[in-house]
Amino acid sequence: MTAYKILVCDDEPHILHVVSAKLRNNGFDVLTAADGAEGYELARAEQPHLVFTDYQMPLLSGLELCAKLRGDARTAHIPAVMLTARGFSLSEADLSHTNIRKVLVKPFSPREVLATARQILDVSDAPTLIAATDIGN
Amino acid sequence: MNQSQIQLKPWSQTEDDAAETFASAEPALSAPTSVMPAPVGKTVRTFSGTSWPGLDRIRSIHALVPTAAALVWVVGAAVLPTNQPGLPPIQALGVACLLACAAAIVVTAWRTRRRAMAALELSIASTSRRAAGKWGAAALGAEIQPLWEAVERQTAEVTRQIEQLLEERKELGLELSLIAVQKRQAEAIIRSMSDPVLVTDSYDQLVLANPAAEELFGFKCPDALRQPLTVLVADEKLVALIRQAREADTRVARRRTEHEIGEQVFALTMSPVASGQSEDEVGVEHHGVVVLLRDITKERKAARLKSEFVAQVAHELRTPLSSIRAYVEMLVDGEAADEKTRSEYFEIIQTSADGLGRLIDNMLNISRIEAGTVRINKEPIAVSMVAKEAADMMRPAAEQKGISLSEELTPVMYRVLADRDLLYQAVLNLLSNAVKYTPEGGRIHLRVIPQEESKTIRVEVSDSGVGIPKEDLPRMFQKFFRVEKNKEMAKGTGLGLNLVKQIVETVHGGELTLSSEVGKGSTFGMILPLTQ
Repeated sequence: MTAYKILVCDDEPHILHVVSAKLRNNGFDVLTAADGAEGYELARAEQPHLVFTDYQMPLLSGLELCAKLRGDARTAHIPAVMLTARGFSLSEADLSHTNIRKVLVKPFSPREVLATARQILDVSDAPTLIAATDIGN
Repeated sequence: MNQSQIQLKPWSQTEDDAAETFASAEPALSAPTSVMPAPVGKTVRTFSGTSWPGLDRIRSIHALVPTAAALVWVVGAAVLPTNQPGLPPIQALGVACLLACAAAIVVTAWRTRRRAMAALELSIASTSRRAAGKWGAAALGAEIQPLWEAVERQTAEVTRQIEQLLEERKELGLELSLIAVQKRQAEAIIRSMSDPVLVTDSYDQLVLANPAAEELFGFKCPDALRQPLTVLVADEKLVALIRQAREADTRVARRRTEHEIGEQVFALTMSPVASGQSEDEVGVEHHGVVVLLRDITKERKAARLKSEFVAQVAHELRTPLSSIRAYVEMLVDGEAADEKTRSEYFEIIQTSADGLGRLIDNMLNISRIEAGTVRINKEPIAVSMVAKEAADMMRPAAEQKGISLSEELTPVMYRVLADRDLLYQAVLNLLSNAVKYTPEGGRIHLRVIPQEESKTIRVEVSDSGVGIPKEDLPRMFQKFFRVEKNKEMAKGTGLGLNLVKQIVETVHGGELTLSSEVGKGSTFGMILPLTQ
């Protein structure tokens, strides 16, 4: 399996830890950041294949981070997945300025995280593209 | 039946009464007129001054004039709005007419009496002469008697009518002043209302507004009355709403809606009301609108804060729950390869579950204090004793981090009227925070300082911890607030200091103080009133 590089941003150490562990255990290369600003710098420097980010984070929120990634030529192509306890407050308009492919609402399961990563990066036998209707689920 | 019809009824009765009076007096009319002789210069006082023979001739005319005057007056009272002070113009005119007619009657009667007296004198004189010569004195009385009786009856009748009309005038005057008083009272009630009230007529013109409405819309009342609403109220949407309420077919139905004026949110109640002139010539009912505006800005804000709070609580509860679920799933899926990882996961689950429990306890305590349902058992408590118990409780945790916890307690037992458990909880929370946010090897100092002058006692917890940024100081006692930079130092619910605030301020009427410098440490103080 190709070692896909995934960036995980969350200010909750336990969540950061468990998501990283699940992805690492299943063959992904994992980078971690504790806030949005650090996540942005890491994404620019490391060019990950996928970003998992929390919504509520200090310095730069998950939504701001994703909008910045989309606006930056170096990171504009990177797909993102939002992990949030407040999925309801994200509007289509908010999402349209980002590369967010899917929103996982807390409490989510690590299995769900893994399945989403595999689906987006097309590393399983499962179908490839994520339909637009997945957004906001 | 409308107001004018109701008020007309007493008049109709009066009219009938008058008609009957004249009808009953009619048979007496013919006799005196037929015998009325031509006046003669000499006057003899044979009859009493109240007898006015000859009045019947002009009576019918004079009787109609006061009747007409009274009609004008009573109709005026019924039709005119009763809000003018004193008599309304038409009514005043009616009264004037009545008085003029009364005067005319008196003058005419007096002149007629003079002529009648002269006639009678002549008649008596000739009769006396004839009687002396031919018939005798008895014939004289018999000739005059019917005339005399008719005059007496008529006089009594006119006097009675005048008295009756004067009585009615007095009653109507009283009624009018009573209505004026009632109107002033009603207006005073409307004016005293703190919610703005507008009353408009069928042309959307202002009829009444209270000071609250004047302030809200920026007009002043005597000038604004009868002005179109479109001129007075800059808010086109509101004017349209009022017009719609007036035009609405359902006259009884009230309309309620919400309307924003500037930063304020108002609950509008618009009730169409009949404006007095019941129907116009084509039978269309006219009505105005009473508009009541209730400021619900605060309620809206409270509702918003509440939903924000609920969202915040949900987030705070979900975070540890997410951890628990995720780590349990990892263990179930065999993602923890070795014993060390497994025990690490179990530990995280335990910590998260403990945090969840603490969060719920703190939230319940705070909400019980806020709602006033917490059982508070106040008794004189030695503050130093409670402070020492809390310090002893925290000492193991402090020692584990190599933090020195020193005490400076009062030797004298200063007492405050307090709930022992809650006070202990407050001191413990301050000490626990100090231990959490003081790096290893730091210092914590607990002091109890009596302040005799202000009759208070101060409990102070100083630490050599990370400190609090200046901009965060005002928010430190808010629910769920945590200093962003210090979050990683320790677990917390963001409720501990809010609980301290509730215990000190709400339960014990005390005061909290806080000073801090980033990198040097913080000092939290609680000031409590001493028992007298």
